[in-house]
Amino acid sequence: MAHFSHAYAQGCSIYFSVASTGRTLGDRLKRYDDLWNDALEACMKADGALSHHHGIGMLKAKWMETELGGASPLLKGLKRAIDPKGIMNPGKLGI
Amino acid sequence: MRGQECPRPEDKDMSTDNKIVKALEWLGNLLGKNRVISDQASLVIYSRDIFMPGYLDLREGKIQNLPAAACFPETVEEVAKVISRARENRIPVIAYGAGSGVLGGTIPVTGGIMLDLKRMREIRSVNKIAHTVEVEAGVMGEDLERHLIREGFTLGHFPSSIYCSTVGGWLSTRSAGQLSAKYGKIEDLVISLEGVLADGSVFHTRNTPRSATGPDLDQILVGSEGTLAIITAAVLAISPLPAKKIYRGFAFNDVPSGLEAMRVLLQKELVPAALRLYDPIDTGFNQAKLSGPDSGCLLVIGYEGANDELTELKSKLGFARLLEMGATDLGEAPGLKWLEHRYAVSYNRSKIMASPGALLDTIEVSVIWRDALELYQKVAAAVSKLGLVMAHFSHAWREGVCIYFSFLVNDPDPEKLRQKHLEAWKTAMEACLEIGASISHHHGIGLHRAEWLKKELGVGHEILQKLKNEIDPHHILNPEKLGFGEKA
Repeated sequence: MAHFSHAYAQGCSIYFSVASTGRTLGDRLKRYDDLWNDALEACMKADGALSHHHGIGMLKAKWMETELGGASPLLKGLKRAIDPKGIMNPGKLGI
Repeated sequence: MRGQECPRPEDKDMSTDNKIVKALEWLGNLLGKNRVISDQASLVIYSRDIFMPGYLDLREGKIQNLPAAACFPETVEEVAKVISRARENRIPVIAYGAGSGVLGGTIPVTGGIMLDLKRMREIRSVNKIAHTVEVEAGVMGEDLERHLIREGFTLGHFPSSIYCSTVGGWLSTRSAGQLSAKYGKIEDLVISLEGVLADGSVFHTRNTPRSATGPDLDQILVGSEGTLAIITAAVLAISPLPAKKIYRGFAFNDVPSGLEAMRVLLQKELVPAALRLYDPIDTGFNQAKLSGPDSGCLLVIGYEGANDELTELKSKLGFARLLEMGATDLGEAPGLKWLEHRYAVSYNRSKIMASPGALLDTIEVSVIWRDALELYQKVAAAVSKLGLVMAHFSHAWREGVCIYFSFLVNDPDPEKLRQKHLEAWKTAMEACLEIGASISHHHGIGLHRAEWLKKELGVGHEILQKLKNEIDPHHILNPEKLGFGEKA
């Protein structure tokens, strides 16, 4: 199910809530991953943004390259410039 | 000013000459010879914007800072090719719109290639559902606005330079329009950007209203004055064309009472489209033109909107509030006359500049309400020792205001005139730094404010410098602007 929770002159945020089940823990985890994959692939195809307000963290990191539309060298350059050893929260934001 | 007098062939070393000859060849191959300019007479136009020392040079017959060439790409792919080749050949590339910057932001201080974006002049689409326009960087402001009006919309961005500035120029400097209270500055209208990074890679940031996907890269690039990327197009927010325009003039006894009224309107849900307060001297200068008061301070206020009822109600409440706060109603005339003359300021300066021994310049700064009066008084008092200074408060926000100083200085000795000019700037910039105000509200940094920018940003400037070094290691993009030092 979904609600449209934030609106602007140009567009809105869609807030999906999902519930699912599976026979085994393995089934349930796989379904969970598939669900995220399908949702975010659809989002990228429709030119939506990966996140409206929850952020990226680790979960959405692998889509960041697509999200940034070719501008990732700028974000990666900034990270390298100010944190050359990568000690600040490594592995997040896909950088 | 850096740079030498117009170089004669014998002054140049051979390697530079070879680089230029080669650059003309590869530029010609990439874009076609008819889209590359290299004759010195044509290049003079690119040697300056309307930054004051360049203006004085011109008046004194000096030509310096000539680029090697100017070229006219028509697509983002062509821009990418030019950047890639320039990077390989270590030749600077300076993005150029219409040359109406006032801080030397496009002066080719280390030579190089001017990337004149005026042939990227397509208004690609107007999205009437999302209220956006996708527009190329080289489109002139007035052309864009007229196009939008025909579609029933407005960008709501009206800098006084609208006839002589481009969308790309606005984005690169964080420009402000005169109706900023209603529509915001240009950075508030940016939905997404297309452009080329210093490594030649093309990017399109996401066309969505808001997101939580890491730092806002659009906002790093907006205001970067062509030092981090070349912006080739943008998706900008647009608004329905206002049906109702209600403009009026009021008078206040003095600057403090006028400023207080501006703050109250901004903070009490009575935000107008235009709101400008002129100090007594600025009021005097505009008295005849704008039918202002004989003494005190003129306040011009305008409400606009697509909803007639709402606009009328807001203006009624806003005007009532001004009267409660001690204003005198001057009727519609000052408001309507301001509307009629509002672009004149971009062309007034050239009249003063025609008299040798005089110059007129402007300094716009940004300050929170608490400190606005102190900054105004400090700068006005100090600059008045050098010449005539006046100010108007030209953009108002919930948190504070832009003070726009104009100053006129005279000296028959050209060198002393330049010194007075610099002294006025120094006084104003140091007062901002001391008070904690921002040294620029919307004109940007260019060459002129570089050293003061470093002081304003502190460690923030070191971060920007590191970012610059990382993504543009050879300092190909607009060298030496924004205080970015020599390449490593």
